Amino acid sequence: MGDYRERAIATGTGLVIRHAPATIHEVAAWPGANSALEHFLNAYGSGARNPLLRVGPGRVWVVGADTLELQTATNGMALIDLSHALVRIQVSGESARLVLRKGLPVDLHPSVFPDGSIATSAIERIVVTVHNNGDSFDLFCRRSYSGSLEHWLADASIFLL
Amino acid sequence: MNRRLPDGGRIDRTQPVRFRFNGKEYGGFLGDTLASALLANGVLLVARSFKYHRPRGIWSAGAEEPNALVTVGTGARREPNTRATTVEIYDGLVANSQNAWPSVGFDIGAINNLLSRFFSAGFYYKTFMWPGARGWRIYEHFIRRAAGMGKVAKTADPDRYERIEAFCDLLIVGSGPAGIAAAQTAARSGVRVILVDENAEHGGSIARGAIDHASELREWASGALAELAGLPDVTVLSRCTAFGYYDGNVLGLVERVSDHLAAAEEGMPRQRHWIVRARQVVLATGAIERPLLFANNDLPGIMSASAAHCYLSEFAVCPGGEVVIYTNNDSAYSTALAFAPHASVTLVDTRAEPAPKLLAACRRADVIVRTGAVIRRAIGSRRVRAVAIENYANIGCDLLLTAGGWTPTIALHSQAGGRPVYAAESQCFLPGVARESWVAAGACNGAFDTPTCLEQGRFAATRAIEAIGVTPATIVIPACTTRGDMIPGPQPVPHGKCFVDMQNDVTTDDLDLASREGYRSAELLKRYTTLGMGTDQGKTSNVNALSLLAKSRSESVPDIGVTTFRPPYTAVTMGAIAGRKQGRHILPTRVTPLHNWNEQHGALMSDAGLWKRALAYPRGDENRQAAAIREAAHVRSAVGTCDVSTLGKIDIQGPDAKEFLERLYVNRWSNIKPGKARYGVMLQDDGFVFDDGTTSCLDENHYFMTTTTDRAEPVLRNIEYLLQVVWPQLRVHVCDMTDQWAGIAVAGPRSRESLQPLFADAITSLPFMGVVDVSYGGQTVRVVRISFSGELGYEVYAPSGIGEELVQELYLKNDSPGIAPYGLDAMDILRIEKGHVTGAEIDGNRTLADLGLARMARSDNRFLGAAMMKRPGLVDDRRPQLVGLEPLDPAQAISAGSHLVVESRPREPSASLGEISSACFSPALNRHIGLGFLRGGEGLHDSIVYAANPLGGTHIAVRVVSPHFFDDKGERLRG
Repeated sequence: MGDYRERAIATGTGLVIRHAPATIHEVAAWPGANSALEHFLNAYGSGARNPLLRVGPGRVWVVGADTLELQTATNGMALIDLSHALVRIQVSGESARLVLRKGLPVDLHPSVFPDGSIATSAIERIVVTVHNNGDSFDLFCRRSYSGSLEHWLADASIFLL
Repeated sequence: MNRRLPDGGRIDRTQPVRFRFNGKEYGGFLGDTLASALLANGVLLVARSFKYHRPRGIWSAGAEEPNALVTVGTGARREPNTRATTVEIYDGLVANSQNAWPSVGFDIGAINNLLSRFFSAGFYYKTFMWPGARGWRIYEHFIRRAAGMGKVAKTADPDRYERIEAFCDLLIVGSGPAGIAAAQTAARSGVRVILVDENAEHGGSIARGAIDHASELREWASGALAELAGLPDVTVLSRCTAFGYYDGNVLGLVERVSDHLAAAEEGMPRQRHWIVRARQVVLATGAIERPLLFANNDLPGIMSASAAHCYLSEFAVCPGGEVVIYTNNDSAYSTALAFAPHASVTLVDTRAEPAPKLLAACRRADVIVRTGAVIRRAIGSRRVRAVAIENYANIGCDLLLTAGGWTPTIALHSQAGGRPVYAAESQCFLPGVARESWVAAGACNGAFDTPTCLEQGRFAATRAIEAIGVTPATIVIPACTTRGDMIPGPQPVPHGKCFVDMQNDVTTDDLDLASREGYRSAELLKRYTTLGMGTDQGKTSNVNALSLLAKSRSESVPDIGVTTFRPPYTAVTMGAIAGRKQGRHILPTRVTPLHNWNEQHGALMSDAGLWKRALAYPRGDENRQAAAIREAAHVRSAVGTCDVSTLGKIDIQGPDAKEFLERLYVNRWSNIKPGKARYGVMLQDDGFVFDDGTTSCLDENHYFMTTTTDRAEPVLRNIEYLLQVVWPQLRVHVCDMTDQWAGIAVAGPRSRESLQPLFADAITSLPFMGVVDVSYGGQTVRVVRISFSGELGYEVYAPSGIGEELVQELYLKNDSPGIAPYGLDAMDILRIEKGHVTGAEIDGNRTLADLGLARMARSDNRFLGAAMMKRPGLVDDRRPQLVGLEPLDPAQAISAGSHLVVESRPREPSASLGEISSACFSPALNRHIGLGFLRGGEGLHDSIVYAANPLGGTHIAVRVVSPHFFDDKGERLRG
């Protein structure tokens, strides 16, 4: 899988940043199919084995699921494998917010962005979807940009308040 | 002369500091500013004024400083126009005066002072009108040399700057009594607070000692600050200036992180640019002391009373031994009493009857008071020696302090609010109506005594917290005394050369002249005289100027007007704005899944938008063009591979997907069958061609679209817009798949056999324009038989993560001389030979007919752009049409961008009949060829026109031919 191996990008005091590959699928309802999506979310989400990220109206990203398993659960909706299109980078530790605030204009304070929260924004013009997964902030970005994002993260980790 | 007192102050006497100013070494202590250290060393003359090069000293102790501008640092770190009053010294600091040559002590430019009666307001406008344009050419050089203050470093800034994206419930600007009271109230209410102050020390007037404070007040302030520092949701920043207040309660701050350190820690930024989104803001920005005007009021040794008080109490510097204090309000009395133990002090009060309590205190402290007295003139040449007082004898002095009342600092309020309101009784402008969510508190809000400041701070925070729906906590504010009457008495009418704006050398005479010449509006006055411009933006001059004008015209100040405040409040280093957006991060870089492979195979890379793309793969000492020609020839004779991962790829699914394609593309889609791909062209709304590409039908409700690299984003954006806004009822979902797939074009007569080892039978039976998903190493790989080169060709789409592996496998299974990579340049040659259009031709100004694609359009007109493509201008048959061009001399290169003309000799002007859009050397035809647009081109085949390139100095005869140079029947690609 080429550079799809898990690896550390930066570590420091109270900080771990790692490249964490995962399968990612987009499940989406076209107009009129929203009930199918709600049904899917209720049925599939109740187990909560894999994070379900509601990235937009009628659009959900499922992280860590198997394609075949999803195919049966998403009848009447679009199912798109984005595992190679998106890169997941996990930022964790006490200093995670100090790194991200150097470029991510999203309020990550626990009162505003509790576990499970998701937002799409940009870091230095790189579109990033950020998910508070409870243990880490998971950044999802387009694969072609991931080198720039990793470089930015390593640079932002240099001097933390 | 040592002006440092033996004890006191907040400096750290255990940490002596050595620094250089104008080449001479001086000593100071940690905690000193450059200004306090210079004053401690008896240095009064630190600068020359902008226009007249008059000697200038230190006026203030803060950001409002109009005079003491210095250049700090050397080489790439040189920073001009820093205020000596805010620069903190460190071991090894180097600072220099500016605007003086050869030295600040002896400055040739001071001759301007003698000629000052010629340099009146509007001097440049009046003088350089003559004798017309020719005169300007002569003067320009000299004017430009004289203009501007300081000189910037011309090499790259070596320092690190960072940005911080911050959020809070309440941002408090200013940590004086009002700010601290507000912060304590907010913090105890449990909201998220950011408290910032531009100074190194928090506390504002409490810390600076410019006013009397009971020790209880100091204790309260330090206790409150310690409490705030310990709270997780409170951020307290010093050396941090809120410079701009923007829409939506967004404020820009700049924090000077390491400017005051001799050596920054590894990786420590020099400055941080904070972008704060605050739900509510408390502006407690304080006030600036106004000068009193008299002749020669700009001499070194004359400063604001509050500044001198600050130097005395904060830095233990007594800048003079014989002190005259000139005032029109009570604030100077505490300064007089503070100086009394260290110097002889005379107080000159314009008011006839100051409060008896104050006079009694002065008597007890041996301070002489002259009441109802007006200073007419300061006497001295390079520093003040004496003052001339009307109806009194001259008084000798070496320090003259003026206290002309207080100007609330309302820059941020004004940026985010209505026009400031003039308060006639206080003789100052107060904040106007808030247009953003801010509340003003303290001196900036007209509260000039500490008890009111504390109360306003508490009240402002309470209001702000209530506004966000939180119950405010109550705090106990310490008891303290009022400072007396801060409302200034009348400002005496000045005579002689009085400097209203010291930074720009604008005198009372200049204002009179401008007024007589009809520049009555405050805005025009500012531009004509330069009053209020420059690095200090009139912090000490605007109110005085307006009140002088009002007086001279017997109008009220609000009738004269008020100048507008714009960001930044104080100058911000460009580096802080750029942050880390420099070098590699000035823009993000996109790389394809085959980037490493390309680099390993010697690709010459180039930028295509954000992408890195391979132009050619030169071998040995081959140049770029030779490599491209070899690669193109190789594709025609054997097989080549090209990284086409940058093509836009869009997944389209849903019951109405086919209908959507039908509306999007000009050609027919209703009859496409699964397993087939089709070339499509789409128009813009305005009827011009937007983009082209192929779309594959995977099943009835599922399509895979490709776009050009350039238009990948615009096409996706347009599709999403159409589905969300124009046709929301269509049951279609689209998803950007550009990054999901590595794209590899495999082209050439041997392409089929080269792919067989990987995909076996799936390839053998794939027809032209067929698409098939095959399994490769457990992953789905999509193969489309399609050709851009005109050869038998395939586009292989592999999941990005295995793209490199697949290409390696392809090269492993084929002997390497037989298969070779080709880059963008070779691809360009191949498509020009075939007459295929790209972004060079589809430039947003071409119709289908221009491109020779008119027959593709369906007649039902049910596609985007159908209505507008029939506008008269778009169906005019005189429009330039796509043609092929061959130079008569096959070895003669022609260049894209050349105009096509009928004149055989270069002549200007010459009517252009069109232009060349693409050109190359064709290895297949062994000659130079080009594509271009020519008026009436289709009817002109075989005629001769000329490719004129006046910039390149070429004028080349070319024959007009069909754009399909090579294999125009398409036999090779169907083979």
